Amino acid sequence: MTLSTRTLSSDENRVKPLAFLQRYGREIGLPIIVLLMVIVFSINSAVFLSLPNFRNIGVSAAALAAVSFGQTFAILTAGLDLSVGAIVALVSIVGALVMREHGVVAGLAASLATGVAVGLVNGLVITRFKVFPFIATLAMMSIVSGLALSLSGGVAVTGVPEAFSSLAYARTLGVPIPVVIAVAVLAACIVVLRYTKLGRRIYAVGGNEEAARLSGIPIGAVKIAAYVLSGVCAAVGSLILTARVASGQPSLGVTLPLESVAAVVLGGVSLFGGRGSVVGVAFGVLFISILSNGLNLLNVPSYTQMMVIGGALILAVSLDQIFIGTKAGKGN
Amino acid sequence: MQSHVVQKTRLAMLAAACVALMAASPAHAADKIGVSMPNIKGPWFTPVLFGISDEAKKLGYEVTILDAGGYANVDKQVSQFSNLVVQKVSAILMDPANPASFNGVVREAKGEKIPVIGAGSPIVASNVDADAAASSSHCSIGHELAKGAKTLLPNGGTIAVLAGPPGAFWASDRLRCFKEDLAGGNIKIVAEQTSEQDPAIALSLANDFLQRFPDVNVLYGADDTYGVGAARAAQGAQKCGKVKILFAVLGEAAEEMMRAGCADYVVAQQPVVIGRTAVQLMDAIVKGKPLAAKKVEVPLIPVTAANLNSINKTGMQAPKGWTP
Amino acid sequence: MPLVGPASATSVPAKDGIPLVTLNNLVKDFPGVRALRGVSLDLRRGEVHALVGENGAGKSTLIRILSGDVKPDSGSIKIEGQPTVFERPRDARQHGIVTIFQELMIVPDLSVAENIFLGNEPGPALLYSRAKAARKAAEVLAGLGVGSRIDPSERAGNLSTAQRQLIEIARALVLRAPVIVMDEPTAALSENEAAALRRLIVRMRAEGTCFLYVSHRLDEVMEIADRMTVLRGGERVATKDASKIKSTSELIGLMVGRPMAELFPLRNEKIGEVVFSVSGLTRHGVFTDINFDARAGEVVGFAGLVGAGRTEVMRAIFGADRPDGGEIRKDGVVITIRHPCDAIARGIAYLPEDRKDQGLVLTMSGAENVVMASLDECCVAGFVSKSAIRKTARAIADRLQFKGQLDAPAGVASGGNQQKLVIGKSILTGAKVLIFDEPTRGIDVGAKAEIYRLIHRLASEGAAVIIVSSELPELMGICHRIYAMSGGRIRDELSLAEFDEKRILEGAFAAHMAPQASPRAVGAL
Repeated sequence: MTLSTRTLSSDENRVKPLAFLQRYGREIGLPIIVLLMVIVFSINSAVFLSLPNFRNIGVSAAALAAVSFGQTFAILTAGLDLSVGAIVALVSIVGALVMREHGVVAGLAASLATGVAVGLVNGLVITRFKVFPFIATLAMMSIVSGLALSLSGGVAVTGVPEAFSSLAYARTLGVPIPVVIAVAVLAACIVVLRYTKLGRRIYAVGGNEEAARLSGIPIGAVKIAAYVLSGVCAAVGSLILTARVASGQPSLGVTLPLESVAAVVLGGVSLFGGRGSVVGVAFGVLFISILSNGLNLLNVPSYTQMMVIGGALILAVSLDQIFIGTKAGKGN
Repeated sequence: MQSHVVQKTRLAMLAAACVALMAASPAHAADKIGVSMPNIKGPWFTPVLFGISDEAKKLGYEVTILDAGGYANVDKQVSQFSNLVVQKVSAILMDPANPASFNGVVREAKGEKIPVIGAGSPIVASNVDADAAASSSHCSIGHELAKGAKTLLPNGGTIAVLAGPPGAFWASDRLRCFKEDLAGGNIKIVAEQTSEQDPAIALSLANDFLQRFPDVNVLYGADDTYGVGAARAAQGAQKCGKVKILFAVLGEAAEEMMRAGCADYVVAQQPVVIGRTAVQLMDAIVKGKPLAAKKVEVPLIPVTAANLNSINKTGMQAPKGWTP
Repeated sequence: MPLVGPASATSVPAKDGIPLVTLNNLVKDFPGVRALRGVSLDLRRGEVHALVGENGAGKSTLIRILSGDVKPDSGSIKIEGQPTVFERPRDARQHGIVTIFQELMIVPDLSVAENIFLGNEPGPALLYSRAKAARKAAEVLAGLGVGSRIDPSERAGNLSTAQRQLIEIARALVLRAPVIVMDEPTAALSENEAAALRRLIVRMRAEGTCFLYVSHRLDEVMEIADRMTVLRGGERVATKDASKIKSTSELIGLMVGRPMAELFPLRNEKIGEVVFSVSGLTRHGVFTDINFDARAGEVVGFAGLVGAGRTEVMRAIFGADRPDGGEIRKDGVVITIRHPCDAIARGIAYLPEDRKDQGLVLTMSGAENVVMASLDECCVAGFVSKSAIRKTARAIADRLQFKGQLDAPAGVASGGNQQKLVIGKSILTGAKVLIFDEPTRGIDVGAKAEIYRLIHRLASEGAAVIIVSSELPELMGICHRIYAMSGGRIRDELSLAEFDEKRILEGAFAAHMAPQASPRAVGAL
């Protein structure tokens, strides 16, 4: 006869509040830190707490936001998309070239198609050739960057229609269009992740790939979809940036791979996959954008800013470990 | 557990405090002006910024200098420009990495009644006029460089071109006018390549050229960085004097190379004068004084070993050791 | 309560006479070994068909073929008489076979409802309907009798092992699977939970579900199986009606191919001085005032219910967790242990409950695992010497009768052999105090006997062995003394002469019988 029986249910009840904090602590913590930052910067700079400045933050955050939401899909499947910066550059060139010859609508279509295409290649290399996402997307980054540079001859592509570039400075109801676009991307991502089968399967594949596979979920297709979505979001981010600089730039988005991963991790999405929400990523983006904006207003040199952002990332991830701990991360 | 929440909150406050500590609290005393440049260091930007800072100090302005870290970072420069607008500075002096990209933000600045002045560039955006500009015409530089080429090669010859950063309009303008002047003549361009504005990369490119064309007569550098790179390459290959080095902008390193006999003809701009002039124009606009001319062209000085010691260099170089 | 009924289009309709599943002459080779040598088996509607055999007999290969994970090299599968080929796991599911593996296939960060509907999400077209999933999940959980205790929206990772297993069963139910394969279903369950599971299986059998029940717990198998198939060395040795098998020894005989000698070896006689003692060890909310000692040559057992705190005490002793108070003495000297390396340096070794997750690096070779804690011995001038590793590992492996490839990754070794690797690692550190936590969990009968012999050999060589186990017969069979723990405290100590099942159980239940609340036990066990 063996000896083991469950403990009394009263103990289970006592465990619940801790479980609640563990589940949502990450989601409460970052917004609080963002709020603290806003307070600190408002005190130190007269112009921080002003509408023009918030619009500025919104516009400079918009592209990072779109790219980060896309990155979330890749990271949720326990992967990574390092090629997002290169996608932004390529889409910028392709979009500008097509817009110049065939008009804005054709250019938009071409841009999104480019994002899909690169995402598809990423996904295929990772699933068919079984290359680790880190390596696969790193290699694609090089290939796609080179493509952008050769298509553009290394020079900016000017002649982007005014109708398109003015969108970066236009507003509806006082909200800059880029911000509206970023919010629309956020809404779309929330819908996909929470209310579609694909979304739930993305979480399943990241959370326990073997369980998902044995439950009949087509792992390959799900991963490819995740990278295609990442490519599309990067394309949207690129369009926002391209409008802002009114030209196709072959080296646009160089800092985006690092910044988007930082935003995603800060937002509470686990690098092991299967856990986290895009709303958290939105706060991660806000954190980074408000931080750089505040530091800019205080005239902190850009090299120091790099150090601060890196330091903030380390801080945020170690808080995550202290608070949630490695065991929960491994899903025990 | 309770202690963890407290720990986390404490750490969060610590983080916020660190950020605050790192922030320099600005003193809102004097009038503030903003300067937005693609790069901050180097034989071109350093003297311009010196000219600006020195003149601004004399006139009682506080200067905020922002640089994007490279010609490739256009979006960053646009962002930084926007930031200056938000800070409601009295005026912005700038040199656009790509004029086409700044239409929107320059319009925003004008909307906020902030004058935008070109410093080292005749234009600030492709479709929006600058309120004033102090520069040397790049085309004029190109013409002067052509003159230099003809001086160095009276009987014709071959040139390899270090064309400057890809997509930089100042470099392409110079080259365009350079080529115009040489069209149909007996001087031929055998190679032409752009590269990032970095001394090591320029050196490497120049070495490449010397390898591929061992008999080339002249190396052309779009500016000082490229020229000095080419000069060092010639020096390393022990071809000083055999391969002539022709470029624009006379920085410290360029001067040394000329004294060493490895730089032959330099079309010197006067970046310090450009900087000062830009500030003077800005001052006039801010104080509502009428301008004699909106666009001021600062004269060029062709320099060779012959007149190196006799020309006045205060307009060309910042004092030794000054950094922005 | 309406349960599984092969009523939907994807499942297999019942026809009397023709078995639901017929496996014919399955052969499967893996590099270096022929796992199945022509095994035939059939599964009928409304039966519990047990599959038994030692580790390595071919059970897991058979399961993987049935689940569609692996294709046989030759042989056929017929579903209801129709030859079928499973290209991928999805095909097996669509033909009505659902497999519940020993490692529970749960996605921890998804909700209970989402886990139940994994791969089978309800909703129109591409959309996922949370509400519908929650509703149906609640229905099926109610049907299983746990509707009130498991919340469909709860994060699956928070559930206990037993609850996770129920989720997997619920998954099979919503798929209306007529055939459910269960691999070691009760290995990680308490006695009550196992009994509940058995009752559920019996109920579902009555409604027509067929179970392929793979288990090492022969007493359990005898209790609920209708037929039993014994595998040995990749071959089917026998398939018999349960009624025709008289005792577990007969089964063991078939499994092992020879009559089984006495399971428990004779105890070591030479017991020396107290080499290890713990006093006043406390960790707030987990365990309180633990006092015990162990002598050289002695085997000391810790009995208790799940959650009594035994593993936590051992982890604290070993330095994996920090106690809040108390004293540990080794050879009479007080020692402080802050980290496992302190413990190892002092000659204390701990073999964790979960050997795969905490005891071994499955991707490294067996040899590398064995020497992992004592690499210094295999170094020459600071560099690791491969030949030294091989020699040392070989010596220990022979001593422990390790049957497997030392060069192969530890992950491919059988459960018993893996345990020997972990034991070998501990012995190599020269530890004289060995703490074994559930040493024979998930190990077949033959290997269990070997482990018991090993434990006694270690004791007779002068080590003090402490064993935490949930199997009372095991403790009573090999220990010299047993402590009963309950609710984080030691309740009773029994010497060999006093060994009595009832008394030990009383000690184990003590915390749940006292009127005052016990210190909160962590449900980690």
